[in-house]
Amino acid sequence: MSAPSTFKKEFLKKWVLGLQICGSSTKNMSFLERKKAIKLSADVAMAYAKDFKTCWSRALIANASKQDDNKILVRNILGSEFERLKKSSIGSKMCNKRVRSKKILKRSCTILRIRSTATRRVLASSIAKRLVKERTLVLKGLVPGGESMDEFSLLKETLDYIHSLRAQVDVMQRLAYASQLSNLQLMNTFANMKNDMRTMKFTFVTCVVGSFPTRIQARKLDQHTRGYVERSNLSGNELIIFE
Amino acid sequence: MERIPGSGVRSGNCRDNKQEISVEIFQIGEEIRRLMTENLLQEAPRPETGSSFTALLGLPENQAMELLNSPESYDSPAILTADIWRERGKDQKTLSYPFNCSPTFPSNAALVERAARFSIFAAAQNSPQTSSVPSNSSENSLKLKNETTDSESNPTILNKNQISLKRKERQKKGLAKKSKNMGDESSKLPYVHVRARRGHATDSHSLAERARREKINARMKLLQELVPGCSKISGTALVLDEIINHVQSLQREVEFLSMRLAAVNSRIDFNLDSLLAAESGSLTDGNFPGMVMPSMWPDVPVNGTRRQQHHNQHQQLWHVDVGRDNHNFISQPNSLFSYDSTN
Repeated sequence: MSAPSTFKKEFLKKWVLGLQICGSSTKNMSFLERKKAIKLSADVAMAYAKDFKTCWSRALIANASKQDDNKILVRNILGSEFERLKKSSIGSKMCNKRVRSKKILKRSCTILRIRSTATRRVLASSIAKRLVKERTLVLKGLVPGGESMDEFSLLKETLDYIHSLRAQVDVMQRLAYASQLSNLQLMNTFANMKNDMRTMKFTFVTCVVGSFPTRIQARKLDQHTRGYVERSNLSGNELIIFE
Repeated sequence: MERIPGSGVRSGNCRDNKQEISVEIFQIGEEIRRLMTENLLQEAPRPETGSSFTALLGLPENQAMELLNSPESYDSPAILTADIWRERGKDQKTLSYPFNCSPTFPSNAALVERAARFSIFAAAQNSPQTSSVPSNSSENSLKLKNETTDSESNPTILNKNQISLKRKERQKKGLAKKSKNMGDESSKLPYVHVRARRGHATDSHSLAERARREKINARMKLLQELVPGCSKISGTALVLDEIINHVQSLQREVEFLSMRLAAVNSRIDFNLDSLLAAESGSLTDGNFPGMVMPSMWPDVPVNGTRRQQHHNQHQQLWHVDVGRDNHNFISQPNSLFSYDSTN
């Protein structure tokens, strides 16, 4: 499965680049800002890794750059790609207009047809069609850029989108897991260091990382660190949030 | 007994950081609550199914016919309900109950209790699709049993059942008519070379439509294979339902993960040089945890020396400043505290 792993690698590279750009701009960000920046850079990276061949990737970037504060970030991440994207998006807008006008025509035809056959009783097929239509509407809302697509290309975009979302989730999970592990490791090393260097005087500041959520990890805390947790008034409940 | 200079400052920072951290925790809680309510709201405005017999469309033809024609046999509703549940319920955790459906109805009380359970269940379900099934099956079973035992929804259910039966008959007639018309059209045009089956038309519009439909069905099949648990479901609407669920859950997962990553690291550009090596290796190997841990070790002493130089520590003291300018995964999100180890 070479294609998915190359996609994942590309995504990771671009995401890291984006995060570095984000991090360099503002020094102290609040939690929500950080989360938004992470998510934004992840989305942009996902779209970038697709090389903007698909409709949803272009639409994702377009949506992201609608808000001013994100726009700068997006532009920095994308660099020269941004200009190229702008040009191509103009072309796609014409396609959207064509699709929309086709839809208006279809809708008026169906309305005429329905009026003529209004007396006919409701058939199962029409109800089924209505259900399918409602669900395609919902799907169009979910997939970025889905509103201006006909049903056929919507399915293709959905396929692609699901595939890339899965890869994105996978990479993010691994990164989160890695950071958790590394934090745990460091906590353990500090605890060990403290035990070893009893003769030296030292003060050290450590912190209970927010990624200490699982009970297994909590059990690994030795008595001293557990004492710290209590002293810092961080109850077990709050830790569990991050589970 | 030397104390580190600046420990007073450190405890001051500690207090500020505690406040910061509590604010952050509050924000995290708010985010989570918002995401939860978003989820619930998204589930709610799903399209209503409206009619009970469309749920029966999921059933194969013969079973639907059986349901219509055999009011006397008490076996069929039980078996049918079992089938419906088995079809839908295998992959959904909430719907899987071990359903011992014996051919003979055990007793009135058991049946009513089961039906009541279905209706409770129907109320609890988010998706209206599956809720129509239990209500329908309970309706049918109750109607066919013709019981006068107390069940609160009995009189209304009987009415609904009559309406649903009428609709089914109409649907059958409509389908029969349609197929006949299609058959006639195929015989009218003499120069058509395509051999049309009964029920399939052959003029160009219908051909184009048929090709389009086949394309769409092929794509739907691909989607069914991609989304887990979809291959057993028949019917476009239900498959689309599953796909929508899947996409929504993936998007939610991305949000939660980004929240988690934001919580773990106080700065966004965390140290990734070693991690990238581990990542690119692990992405191909899958040998994930083993690779990360050794790669983290070399960081620790390096950081210690860096800190020392940075803070001009002359004594041999391990002073790790966690949080201000961190270049690795030590992060300050939740609590900072200091402690003195005295001998």
